Amino acid sequence: MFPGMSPSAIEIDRLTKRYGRKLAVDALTLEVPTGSIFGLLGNNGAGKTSTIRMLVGHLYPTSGAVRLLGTDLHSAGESDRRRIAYLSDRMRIPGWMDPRAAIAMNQSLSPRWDAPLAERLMDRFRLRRAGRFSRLSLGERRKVLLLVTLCQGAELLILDEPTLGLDVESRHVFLECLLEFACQGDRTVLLSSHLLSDVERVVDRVAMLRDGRLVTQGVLEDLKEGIRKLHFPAPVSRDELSVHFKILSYDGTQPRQTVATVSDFTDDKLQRLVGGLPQTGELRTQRFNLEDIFVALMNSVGD
Amino acid sequence: MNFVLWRYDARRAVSIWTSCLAVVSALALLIDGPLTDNDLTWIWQFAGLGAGTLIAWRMFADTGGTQAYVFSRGFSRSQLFWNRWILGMSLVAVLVFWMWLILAGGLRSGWRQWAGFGDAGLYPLIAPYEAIIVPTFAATAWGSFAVTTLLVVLRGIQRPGRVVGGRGTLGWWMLDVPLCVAASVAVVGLLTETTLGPGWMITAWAAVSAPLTTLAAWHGYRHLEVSA
Repeated sequence: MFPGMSPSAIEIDRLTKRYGRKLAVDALTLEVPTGSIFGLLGNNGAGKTSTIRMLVGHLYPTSGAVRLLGTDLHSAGESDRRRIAYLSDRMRIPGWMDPRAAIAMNQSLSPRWDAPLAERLMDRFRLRRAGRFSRLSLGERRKVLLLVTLCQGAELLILDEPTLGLDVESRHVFLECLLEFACQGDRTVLLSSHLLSDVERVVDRVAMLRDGRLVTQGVLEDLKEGIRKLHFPAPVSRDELSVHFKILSYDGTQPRQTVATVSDFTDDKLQRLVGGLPQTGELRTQRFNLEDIFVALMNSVGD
Repeated sequence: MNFVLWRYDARRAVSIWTSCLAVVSALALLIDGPLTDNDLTWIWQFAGLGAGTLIAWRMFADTGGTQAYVFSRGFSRSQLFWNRWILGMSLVAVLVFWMWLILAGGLRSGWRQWAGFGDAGLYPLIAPYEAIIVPTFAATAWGSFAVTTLLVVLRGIQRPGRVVGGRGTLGWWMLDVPLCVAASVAVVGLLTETTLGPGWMITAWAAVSAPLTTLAAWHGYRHLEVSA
Protein backbone atom coordinates (compact mmCIF):
# COMPACT_ATOMS: atom_id res chain seq x y z
CA MET A 1 0.00 0.00 0.00
CA PHE A 2 1.20 3.51 -0.74
CA PRO A 3 1.72 6.03 2.09
CA GLY A 4 -1.39 8.02 2.92
CA MET A 5 -3.78 5.49 1.44
CA SER A 6 -6.71 4.12 3.38
CA PRO A 7 -6.21 0.48 4.38
CA SER A 8 -9.74 -0.28 3.17
CA ALA A 9 -10.96 0.56 -0.30
CA ILE A 10 -14.52 -0.34 0.68
CA GLU A 11 -16.00 0.04 4.15
CA ILE A 12 -19.50 -1.27 4.71
CA ASP A 13 -21.06 -0.63 8.10
CA ARG A 14 -24.32 -2.35 9.12
CA LEU A 15 -25.71 -1.94 5.63
CA THR A 16 -29.38 -2.88 5.37
CA LYS A 17 -31.76 -2.82 2.44
CA ARG A 18 -35.47 -3.59 2.54
CA TYR A 19 -37.79 -3.90 -0.44
CA GLY A 20 -41.12 -3.56 1.30
CA ARG A 21 -41.26 -6.54 3.62
CA LYS A 22 -38.38 -8.35 1.99
CA LEU A 23 -35.07 -7.91 3.72
CA ALA A 24 -32.49 -8.07 0.94
CA VAL A 25 -29.38 -7.10 2.91
CA ASP A 26 -29.28 -7.48 6.66
CA ALA A 27 -26.83 -5.36 8.67
CA LEU A 28 -23.87 -6.28 6.49
CA THR A 29 -20.49 -5.17 7.79
CA LEU A 30 -17.49 -5.76 5.57
CA GLU A 31 -14.14 -4.28 4.66
CA VAL A 32 -12.31 -4.74 1.40
CA PRO A 33 -8.59 -4.02 1.80
CA THR A 34 -6.89 -1.76 -0.69
CA GLY A 35 -4.93 -3.72 -3.26
CA SER A 36 -6.98 -6.90 -3.02
CA ILE A 37 -9.19 -8.77 -5.45
CA PHE A 38 -12.24 -9.51 -3.37
CA GLY A 39 -14.90 -12.03 -4.34
CA LEU A 40 -18.46 -11.38 -3.16
CA LEU A 41 -20.29 -14.67 -3.45
CA GLY A 42 -23.76 -15.97 -2.80
CA ASN A 43 -26.67 -17.76 -4.38
CA ASN A 44 -29.36 -15.95 -6.34
CA GLY A 45 -31.21 -13.59 -4.01
CA ALA A 46 -28.43 -13.59 -1.42
CA GLY A 47 -28.12 -9.80 -1.60
CA LYS A 48 -24.91 -9.42 -3.64
CA THR A 49 -26.35 -7.22 -6.35
CA SER A 50 -28.31 -5.08 -3.88
CA THR A 51 -25.11 -4.60 -1.88
CA ILE A 52 -23.12 -3.67 -4.96
CA ARG A 53 -25.80 -1.29 -6.20
CA MET A 54 -25.80 0.44 -2.83
CA LEU A 55 -22.01 0.67 -3.00
CA VAL A 56 -22.09 2.51 -6.31
CA GLY A 57 -24.98 4.77 -5.28
CA HIS A 58 -27.60 3.25 -7.54
CA LEU A 59 -29.72 2.18 -4.57
CA TYR A 60 -30.23 3.94 -1.28
CA PRO A 61 -29.65 1.90 1.86
CA THR A 62 -32.51 1.54 4.29
CA SER A 63 -29.89 2.01 6.99
CA GLY A 64 -26.15 1.71 7.42
CA ALA A 65 -23.28 3.39 5.64
CA VAL A 66 -20.87 2.78 2.83
CA ARG A 67 -17.57 4.43 2.03
CA LEU A 68 -15.61 3.86 -1.14
CA LEU A 69 -12.00 5.06 -1.25
CA GLY A 70 -12.80 7.08 1.85
CA THR A 71 -15.80 8.93 0.40
CA ASP A 72 -19.57 8.58 0.45
CA LEU A 73 -20.48 8.16 -3.20
CA HIS A 74 -23.96 9.66 -2.80
CA SER A 75 -22.45 13.03 -2.02
CA ALA A 76 -19.22 12.60 -4.00
CA GLY A 77 -18.20 14.95 -6.76
CA GLU A 78 -17.15 14.12 -10.30
CA SER A 79 -13.47 13.53 -9.52
CA ASP A 80 -14.20 11.07 -6.71
CA ARG A 81 -16.73 9.20 -8.82
CA ARG A 82 -14.22 8.79 -11.64
CA ARG A 83 -11.93 6.87 -9.28
CA ILE A 84 -14.45 4.05 -9.35
CA ALA A 85 -15.48 1.94 -12.33
CA TYR A 86 -18.60 -0.23 -12.21
CA LEU A 87 -19.93 -2.92 -14.49
CA SER A 88 -23.08 -4.94 -13.93
CA ASP A 89 -24.67 -7.77 -15.85
CA ARG A 90 -27.71 -5.63 -16.59
CA MET A 91 -25.82 -2.63 -17.90
CA ARG A 92 -26.46 -1.73 -21.55
CA ILE A 93 -24.83 0.69 -23.91
CA PRO A 94 -27.59 2.40 -25.93
CA GLY A 95 -28.44 0.47 -29.07
CA TRP A 96 -27.82 3.38 -31.42
CA MET A 97 -24.17 3.70 -30.37
CA ASP A 98 -21.36 1.76 -31.98
CA PRO A 99 -18.22 0.54 -30.18
CA ARG A 100 -16.14 3.40 -31.55
CA ALA A 101 -18.58 6.00 -30.19
CA ALA A 102 -18.86 4.23 -26.83
CA ILE A 103 -15.10 4.07 -26.45
CA ALA A 104 -14.68 7.69 -27.52
CA MET A 105 -17.33 8.78 -25.03
CA ASN A 106 -15.66 6.96 -22.14
CA GLN A 107 -12.22 8.13 -23.19
CA SER A 108 -13.29 11.76 -23.12
CA LEU A 109 -14.87 11.26 -19.69
CA SER A 110 -11.85 9.54 -18.14
CA PRO A 111 -8.78 11.72 -17.51
CA ARG A 112 -6.68 8.59 -16.77
CA TRP A 113 -7.89 6.58 -19.76
CA ASP A 114 -5.50 3.72 -20.53
CA ALA A 115 -5.25 3.99 -24.32
CA PRO A 116 -2.60 1.25 -24.82
CA LEU A 117 -4.73 -1.20 -22.83
CA ALA A 118 -7.76 -0.23 -24.88
CA GLU A 119 -5.89 -0.98 -28.10
CA ARG A 120 -4.64 -4.27 -26.71
CA LEU A 121 -8.10 -5.32 -25.61
CA MET A 122 -9.59 -4.34 -28.96
CA ASP A 123 -7.18 -6.80 -30.57
CA ARG A 124 -7.44 -9.56 -28.01
CA PHE A 125 -11.24 -9.40 -27.83
CA ARG A 126 -11.31 -9.17 -31.65
CA LEU A 127 -13.75 -6.30 -31.38
CA ARG A 128 -15.34 -4.62 -34.34
CA ARG A 129 -15.29 -0.84 -34.08
CA ALA A 130 -18.35 -0.29 -36.25
CA GLY A 131 -21.86 -1.67 -36.02
CA ARG A 132 -24.66 -0.54 -33.77
CA PHE A 133 -24.93 -2.17 -30.35
CA SER A 134 -28.45 -3.26 -31.12
CA ARG A 135 -26.96 -5.49 -33.85
CA LEU A 136 -24.05 -6.88 -31.84
CA SER A 137 -24.16 -10.21 -30.04
CA LEU A 138 -24.42 -10.34 -26.25
CA GLY A 139 -20.75 -11.35 -26.01
CA GLU A 140 -19.58 -8.48 -28.20
CA ARG A 141 -21.59 -5.99 -26.17
CA ARG A 142 -20.09 -7.35 -22.96
CA LYS A 143 -16.58 -7.07 -24.38
CA VAL A 144 -17.06 -3.38 -25.12
CA LEU A 145 -18.44 -2.79 -21.63
CA LEU A 146 -15.49 -4.64 -20.13
CA LEU A 147 -13.07 -2.62 -22.21
CA VAL A 148 -14.50 0.74 -21.22
CA THR A 149 -14.62 -0.34 -17.56
CA LEU A 150 -11.06 -1.67 -17.43
CA CYS A 151 -9.54 1.24 -19.32
CA GLN A 152 -11.04 4.05 -17.23
CA GLY A 153 -7.92 4.21 -15.08
CA ALA A 154 -10.05 3.74 -11.98
CA GLU A 155 -8.59 2.84 -8.59
CA LEU A 156 -11.50 0.61 -7.68
CA LEU A 157 -13.29 -1.80 -10.01
CA ILE A 158 -16.70 -3.10 -8.96
CA LEU A 159 -17.80 -5.92 -11.22
CA ASP A 160 -21.12 -7.75 -10.96
CA GLU A 161 -21.19 -10.86 -13.19
CA PRO A 162 -18.67 -9.34 -15.61
CA THR A 163 -18.10 -12.46 -17.69
CA LEU A 164 -21.74 -13.14 -18.46
CA GLY A 165 -22.03 -14.11 -22.13
CA LEU A 166 -18.28 -14.16 -22.78
CA ASP A 167 -16.57 -16.99 -24.63
CA VAL A 168 -13.81 -18.97 -22.91
CA GLU A 169 -10.94 -17.14 -24.61
CA SER A 170 -12.33 -13.71 -23.76
CA ARG A 171 -12.88 -14.77 -20.18
CA HIS A 172 -9.21 -15.71 -19.97
CA VAL A 173 -8.18 -12.35 -21.40
CA PHE A 174 -10.41 -10.60 -18.91
CA LEU A 175 -9.04 -12.53 -15.94
CA GLU A 176 -5.47 -11.76 -17.03
CA CYS A 177 -6.37 -8.08 -17.19
CA LEU A 178 -7.85 -8.21 -13.72
CA LEU A 179 -4.64 -9.71 -12.34
CA GLU A 180 -2.55 -7.09 -14.16
CA PHE A 181 -4.84 -4.40 -12.79
CA ALA A 182 -4.51 -5.62 -9.20
CA CYS A 183 -0.74 -6.03 -9.53
CA GLN A 184 -0.45 -2.26 -9.73
CA GLY A 185 -0.65 -2.31 -5.94
CA ASP A 186 -3.03 0.47 -5.10
CA ARG A 187 -5.87 -0.92 -7.23
CA THR A 188 -8.74 -2.88 -5.76
CA VAL A 189 -11.31 -5.14 -7.39
CA LEU A 190 -14.66 -6.27 -5.98
CA LEU A 191 -15.89 -9.15 -8.09
CA SER A 192 -19.21 -10.95 -7.89
CA SER A 193 -19.77 -13.98 -10.09
CA HIS A 194 -21.41 -17.38 -10.07
CA LEU A 195 -18.47 -18.77 -12.07
CA LEU A 196 -16.51 -19.79 -9.01
CA SER A 197 -13.70 -21.39 -11.01
CA ASP A 198 -13.00 -17.94 -12.49
CA VAL A 199 -13.30 -16.27 -9.11
CA GLU A 200 -10.91 -18.76 -7.54
CA ARG A 201 -8.29 -18.03 -10.17
CA VAL A 202 -8.05 -14.34 -9.34
CA VAL A 203 -9.34 -13.45 -5.88
CA ASP A 204 -7.29 -13.37 -2.72
CA ARG A 205 -10.22 -12.74 -0.36
CA VAL A 206 -13.87 -13.72 -0.37
CA ALA A 207 -17.09 -13.01 1.47
CA MET A 208 -20.14 -15.22 1.20
CA LEU A 209 -23.69 -14.03 1.69
CA ARG A 210 -26.82 -15.99 2.38
CA ASP A 211 -30.26 -14.38 2.73
CA GLY A 212 -28.64 -10.97 2.99
CA ARG A 213 -26.37 -11.97 5.84
CA LEU A 214 -22.66 -12.53 5.90
CA VAL A 215 -21.83 -16.24 6.25
CA THR A 216 -18.09 -15.95 6.16
CA GLN A 217 -15.30 -13.73 4.95
CA GLY A 218 -11.56 -13.97 4.86
CA VAL A 219 -8.44 -14.80 2.92
CA LEU A 220 -9.20 -17.50 0.37
CA GLU A 221 -6.17 -19.59 1.26
CA ASP A 222 -7.13 -19.50 4.96
CA LEU A 223 -10.63 -20.65 4.09
CA LYS A 224 -9.24 -23.46 1.97
CA GLU A 225 -6.93 -24.43 4.78
CA GLY A 226 -9.64 -24.33 7.42
CA ILE A 227 -12.40 -26.28 5.69
CA ARG A 228 -11.85 -29.98 5.16
CA LYS A 229 -13.82 -33.10 4.48
CA LEU A 230 -12.81 -35.86 6.92
CA HIS A 231 -13.31 -39.56 6.14
CA PHE A 232 -13.02 -41.65 9.33
CA PRO A 233 -12.75 -45.44 8.94
CA ALA A 234 -14.79 -45.81 12.12
CA PRO A 235 -17.95 -44.42 13.73
CA VAL A 236 -17.28 -40.99 15.23
CA SER A 237 -20.09 -39.23 16.98
CA ARG A 238 -21.12 -35.66 16.19
CA ASP A 239 -20.38 -34.75 19.80
CA GLU A 240 -16.83 -36.06 19.60
CA LEU A 241 -16.24 -34.06 16.44
CA SER A 242 -17.82 -30.88 17.73
CA VAL A 243 -15.39 -30.77 20.63
CA HIS A 244 -12.63 -29.95 18.13
CA PHE A 245 -14.29 -28.53 15.00
CA LYS A 246 -17.27 -26.59 13.80
CA ILE A 247 -19.29 -29.13 11.81
CA LEU A 248 -20.67 -28.02 8.46
CA SER A 249 -22.08 -31.41 7.47
CA TYR A 250 -22.10 -34.83 9.09
CA ASP A 251 -22.88 -38.31 7.80
CA GLY A 252 -22.70 -41.02 10.43
CA THR A 253 -25.15 -43.40 8.81
CA GLN A 254 -22.52 -45.88 7.55
CA PRO A 255 -21.61 -48.60 10.10
CA ARG A 256 -17.86 -48.47 9.47
CA GLN A 257 -17.34 -44.97 8.17
CA THR A 258 -18.05 -41.39 9.19
CA VAL A 259 -17.82 -38.48 6.79
CA ALA A 260 -17.92 -34.91 8.01
CA THR A 261 -17.12 -31.49 6.61
CA VAL A 262 -15.63 -29.20 9.21
CA SER A 263 -14.33 -25.69 9.52
CA ASP A 264 -11.64 -24.42 11.92
CA PHE A 265 -9.49 -27.32 10.75
CA THR A 266 -5.88 -27.59 11.92
CA ASP A 267 -3.56 -30.59 11.99
CA ASP A 268 -3.15 -30.20 15.76
CA LYS A 269 -6.87 -30.46 16.37
CA LEU A 270 -7.07 -33.50 14.13
CA GLN A 271 -4.22 -35.18 15.95
CA ARG A 272 -5.96 -34.58 19.28
CA LEU A 273 -9.19 -36.04 17.91
CA VAL A 274 -7.51 -39.07 16.36
CA GLY A 275 -5.56 -39.70 19.56
CA GLY A 276 -8.80 -40.49 21.33
CA LEU A 277 -10.17 -42.83 18.64
CA PRO A 278 -9.51 -46.56 18.12
CA GLN A 279 -7.04 -47.17 15.24
CA THR A 280 -9.03 -49.12 12.63
CA GLY A 281 -7.71 -47.84 9.33
CA GLU A 282 -6.54 -44.84 7.37
CA LEU A 283 -8.07 -41.44 8.05
CA ARG A 284 -8.37 -39.30 4.94
CA THR A 285 -8.67 -35.53 4.80
CA GLN A 286 -9.86 -33.84 1.64
CA ARG A 287 -9.12 -30.23 0.71
CA PHE A 288 -11.85 -28.22 -0.97
CA ASN A 289 -11.74 -25.85 -3.86
CA LEU A 290 -13.76 -22.62 -3.69
CA GLU A 291 -16.85 -24.18 -5.21
CA ASP A 292 -16.83 -27.02 -2.67
CA ILE A 293 -16.34 -24.55 0.16
CA PHE A 294 -19.19 -22.43 -1.14
CA VAL A 295 -21.58 -25.39 -1.38
CA ALA A 296 -20.52 -26.67 2.04
CA LEU A 297 -21.08 -23.31 3.70
CA MET A 298 -24.38 -22.63 1.95
CA ASN A 299 -25.73 -26.05 2.92
CA SER A 300 -24.18 -26.10 6.36
CA VAL A 301 -26.20 -27.05 9.44
CA GLY A 302 -27.11 -24.36 11.90
CA ASP A 303 -28.88 -22.24 9.31
CA MET B 1 -21.86 21.69 -18.46
CA ASN B 2 -20.46 18.46 -19.73
CA PHE B 3 -20.31 18.43 -23.52
CA VAL B 4 -19.81 14.68 -23.75
CA LEU B 5 -23.07 14.15 -21.93
CA TRP B 6 -24.71 16.89 -23.93
CA ARG B 7 -23.69 15.28 -27.19
CA TYR B 8 -24.91 11.91 -25.95
CA ASP B 9 -28.32 13.25 -24.90
CA ALA B 10 -28.67 15.36 -28.03
CA ARG B 11 -28.10 12.25 -30.11
CA ARG B 12 -30.80 10.44 -28.13
CA ALA B 13 -33.29 13.27 -28.58
CA VAL B 14 -32.61 14.14 -32.20
CA SER B 15 -35.28 11.92 -33.81
CA ILE B 16 -38.09 13.05 -31.51
CA TRP B 17 -37.01 16.67 -31.72
CA THR B 18 -36.91 16.55 -35.52
CA SER B 19 -40.40 15.07 -35.55
CA CYS B 20 -41.63 17.88 -33.30
CA LEU B 21 -39.98 20.41 -35.60
CA ALA B 22 -41.74 18.90 -38.61
CA VAL B 23 -45.15 18.93 -36.91
CA VAL B 24 -44.74 22.51 -35.66
CA SER B 25 -43.61 23.64 -39.11
CA ALA B 26 -46.56 21.92 -40.77
CA LEU B 27 -49.03 23.49 -38.32
CA ALA B 28 -47.49 26.93 -38.64
CA LEU B 29 -47.53 26.80 -42.42
CA LEU B 30 -50.82 25.06 -43.11
CA ILE B 31 -53.42 26.41 -40.66
CA ASP B 32 -55.54 29.10 -42.27
CA GLY B 33 -54.98 32.64 -41.05
CA PRO B 34 -55.31 34.98 -39.48
CA LEU B 35 -54.01 33.36 -36.32
CA THR B 36 -55.13 35.17 -33.19
CA ASP B 37 -54.77 34.65 -29.51
CA ASN B 38 -58.40 33.53 -29.19
CA ASP B 39 -58.95 31.40 -32.28
CA LEU B 40 -57.47 27.93 -32.44
CA THR B 41 -55.45 28.48 -29.29
CA TRP B 42 -55.99 24.86 -28.29
CA ILE B 43 -54.02 23.67 -31.32
CA TRP B 44 -50.94 25.57 -30.15
CA GLN B 45 -51.51 24.46 -26.59
CA PHE B 46 -51.65 20.83 -27.69
CA ALA B 47 -48.64 21.30 -29.95
CA GLY B 48 -46.68 22.82 -27.07
CA LEU B 49 -47.89 20.13 -24.68
CA GLY B 50 -46.84 17.37 -27.08
CA ALA B 51 -43.44 18.85 -27.86
CA GLY B 52 -42.59 19.57 -24.22
CA THR B 53 -43.77 16.17 -23.04
CA LEU B 54 -41.92 14.21 -25.72
CA ILE B 55 -38.65 16.10 -25.33
CA ALA B 56 -38.71 15.79 -21.53
CA TRP B 57 -39.54 12.10 -21.73
CA ARG B 58 -36.65 11.54 -24.15
CA MET B 59 -34.27 13.51 -21.94
CA PHE B 60 -35.07 11.93 -18.61
CA ALA B 61 -36.63 8.50 -19.15
CA ASP B 62 -33.71 6.09 -19.47
CA THR B 63 -34.42 2.41 -19.85
CA GLY B 64 -33.04 0.26 -17.01
CA GLY B 65 -29.78 -1.05 -18.46
CA THR B 66 -28.99 2.19 -20.25
CA GLN B 67 -29.70 4.17 -17.10
CA ALA B 68 -27.22 2.02 -15.20
CA TYR B 69 -24.64 2.73 -17.91
CA VAL B 70 -25.14 6.50 -17.94
CA PHE B 71 -25.35 6.78 -14.15
CA SER B 72 -22.04 4.91 -13.86
CA ARG B 73 -20.03 7.30 -16.04
CA GLY B 74 -18.96 9.46 -13.10
CA PHE B 75 -21.60 12.16 -13.26
CA SER B 76 -23.25 13.47 -10.12
CA ARG B 77 -27.04 13.42 -10.03
CA SER B 78 -27.24 17.21 -10.15
CA GLN B 79 -24.86 17.29 -13.10
CA LEU B 80 -26.98 14.77 -14.99
CA PHE B 81 -30.21 16.56 -14.15
CA TRP B 82 -29.14 20.08 -15.07
CA ASN B 83 -27.30 19.00 -18.22
CA ARG B 84 -30.44 17.32 -19.40
CA TRP B 85 -32.72 20.08 -18.25
CA ILE B 86 -30.73 22.78 -19.99
CA LEU B 87 -30.47 20.74 -23.17
CA GLY B 88 -34.21 19.92 -23.14
CA MET B 89 -35.18 23.52 -22.49
CA SER B 90 -32.81 24.61 -25.26
CA LEU B 91 -34.39 22.19 -27.70
CA VAL B 92 -37.82 23.57 -26.80
CA ALA B 93 -36.42 27.10 -27.20
CA VAL B 94 -35.20 26.31 -30.70
CA LEU B 95 -38.66 25.00 -31.57
CA VAL B 96 -40.20 28.21 -30.24
CA PHE B 97 -37.72 30.33 -32.14
CA TRP B 98 -38.36 28.34 -35.31
CA MET B 99 -42.09 28.88 -34.92
CA TRP B 100 -41.57 32.59 -34.41
CA LEU B 101 -39.36 32.66 -37.50
CA ILE B 102 -42.08 31.02 -39.57
CA LEU B 103 -44.81 33.35 -38.36
CA ALA B 104 -43.11 36.69 -37.88
CA GLY B 105 -40.08 36.14 -40.04
CA GLY B 106 -42.06 35.87 -43.28
CA LEU B 107 -41.92 32.14 -44.06
CA ARG B 108 -45.63 31.58 -43.49
CA SER B 109 -46.48 34.81 -45.24
CA GLY B 110 -44.41 33.97 -48.30
CA TRP B 111 -45.61 30.37 -48.43
CA ARG B 112 -49.30 31.23 -48.26
CA GLN B 113 -48.96 33.89 -50.94
CA TRP B 114 -46.88 31.68 -53.18
CA ALA B 115 -49.22 28.69 -52.84
CA GLY B 116 -52.28 30.86 -53.36
CA PHE B 117 -54.25 29.97 -50.25
CA GLY B 118 -57.61 31.70 -49.68
CA ASP B 119 -56.13 34.00 -47.07
CA ALA B 120 -53.17 34.98 -49.26
CA GLY B 121 -54.47 38.52 -49.62
CA LEU B 122 -54.01 39.16 -45.89
CA TYR B 123 -50.25 38.66 -46.10
CA PRO B 124 -47.74 40.10 -45.43
CA LEU B 125 -49.86 42.68 -43.58
CA ILE B 126 -50.93 40.40 -40.71
CA ALA B 127 -47.73 38.38 -40.46
CA PRO B 128 -46.20 40.19 -37.44
CA TYR B 129 -49.47 39.96 -35.48
CA GLU B 130 -49.79 36.21 -35.91
CA ALA B 131 -46.73 35.73 -33.72
CA ILE B 132 -49.08 36.37 -30.78
CA ILE B 133 -49.63 32.62 -30.55
CA VAL B 134 -45.92 31.95 -29.95
CA PRO B 135 -46.06 32.68 -26.20
CA THR B 136 -48.94 30.22 -25.82
CA PHE B 137 -46.96 27.52 -27.57
CA ALA B 138 -43.79 28.35 -25.64
CA ALA B 139 -45.47 28.39 -22.26
CA THR B 140 -47.28 25.10 -22.72
CA ALA B 141 -44.13 23.48 -24.12
CA TRP B 142 -41.92 24.66 -21.24
CA GLY B 143 -44.65 23.96 -18.69
CA SER B 144 -45.29 20.44 -19.93
CA PHE B 145 -41.52 19.85 -20.11
CA ALA B 146 -41.27 20.70 -16.42
CA VAL B 147 -44.30 18.62 -15.43
CA THR B 148 -43.21 15.60 -17.49
CA THR B 149 -39.75 15.80 -15.95
CA LEU B 150 -41.31 15.62 -12.52
CA LEU B 151 -43.60 12.75 -13.50
CA VAL B 152 -40.71 10.74 -14.98
CA VAL B 153 -38.71 11.28 -11.80
CA LEU B 154 -41.65 10.35 -9.59
CA ARG B 155 -42.14 7.18 -11.60
CA GLY B 156 -38.52 6.35 -10.85
CA ILE B 157 -38.70 6.90 -7.12
CA GLN B 158 -42.10 5.46 -6.30
CA ARG B 159 -41.79 1.80 -6.95
CA PRO B 160 -43.91 -0.44 -4.76
CA GLY B 161 -42.25 -0.92 -1.41
CA ARG B 162 -39.27 1.22 -2.28
CA VAL B 163 -39.26 4.40 -0.30
CA VAL B 164 -36.52 6.34 -1.93
CA GLY B 165 -35.98 9.74 -0.41
CA GLY B 166 -39.70 9.29 -0.59
CA ARG B 167 -41.15 11.48 2.09
CA GLY B 168 -39.04 14.48 1.21
CA THR B 169 -39.81 14.18 -2.46
CA LEU B 170 -43.49 13.60 -1.91
CA GLY B 171 -43.46 16.63 0.33
CA TRP B 172 -42.02 18.71 -2.47
CA TRP B 173 -44.62 17.36 -4.86
CA MET B 174 -47.50 17.98 -2.47
CA LEU B 175 -46.23 21.49 -1.85
CA ASP B 176 -45.62 22.07 -5.53
CA VAL B 177 -49.13 21.42 -6.81
CA PRO B 178 -51.11 23.72 -4.49
CA LEU B 179 -48.45 26.41 -4.84
CA CYS B 180 -48.70 26.26 -8.63
CA VAL B 181 -52.49 26.35 -8.53
CA ALA B 182 -52.64 29.21 -6.03
CA ALA B 183 -50.05 31.28 -7.84
CA SER B 184 -51.58 30.72 -11.24
CA VAL B 185 -55.07 31.59 -9.95
CA ALA B 186 -53.65 34.82 -8.59
CA VAL B 187 -51.85 35.65 -11.82
CA VAL B 188 -54.81 34.70 -14.00
CA GLY B 189 -57.05 36.73 -11.74
CA LEU B 190 -54.85 39.75 -12.30
CA LEU B 191 -54.74 39.18 -16.03
CA THR B 192 -58.47 38.75 -16.42
CA GLU B 193 -58.79 42.32 -15.17
CA THR B 194 -57.23 43.17 -18.48
CA THR B 195 -58.47 42.16 -21.90
CA LEU B 196 -55.89 39.44 -22.44
CA GLY B 197 -57.11 36.12 -23.83
CA PRO B 198 -56.75 32.50 -22.65
CA GLY B 199 -53.37 32.10 -24.31
CA TRP B 200 -51.92 34.58 -21.87
CA MET B 201 -53.55 32.81 -18.97
CA ILE B 202 -51.90 29.53 -19.81
CA THR B 203 -48.66 31.41 -20.29
CA ALA B 204 -48.94 32.84 -16.81
CA TRP B 205 -49.79 29.46 -15.31
CA ALA B 206 -46.84 27.78 -16.97
CA ALA B 207 -44.47 30.55 -16.03
CA VAL B 208 -45.35 30.09 -12.39
CA SER B 209 -45.52 26.31 -12.27
CA ALA B 210 -42.46 25.45 -14.37
CA PRO B 211 -39.79 26.68 -11.90
CA LEU B 212 -41.48 25.08 -8.89
CA THR B 213 -42.03 21.80 -10.68
CA THR B 214 -38.44 21.82 -11.91
CA LEU B 215 -37.13 22.25 -8.37
CA ALA B 216 -39.29 19.37 -7.17
CA ALA B 217 -38.01 17.20 -10.05
CA TRP B 218 -34.39 18.08 -9.24
CA HIS B 219 -34.92 17.11 -5.61
CA GLY B 220 -36.43 13.80 -6.74
CA TYR B 221 -33.68 13.13 -9.27
CA ARG B 222 -31.04 13.29 -6.57
CA HIS B 223 -32.86 10.48 -4.78
CA LEU B 224 -33.64 8.40 -7.85
CA GLU B 225 -32.83 4.72 -7.68
CA VAL B 226 -31.34 3.26 -10.82
CA SER B 227 -33.65 0.49 -11.92
CA ALA B 228 -31.10 -2.05 -13.19
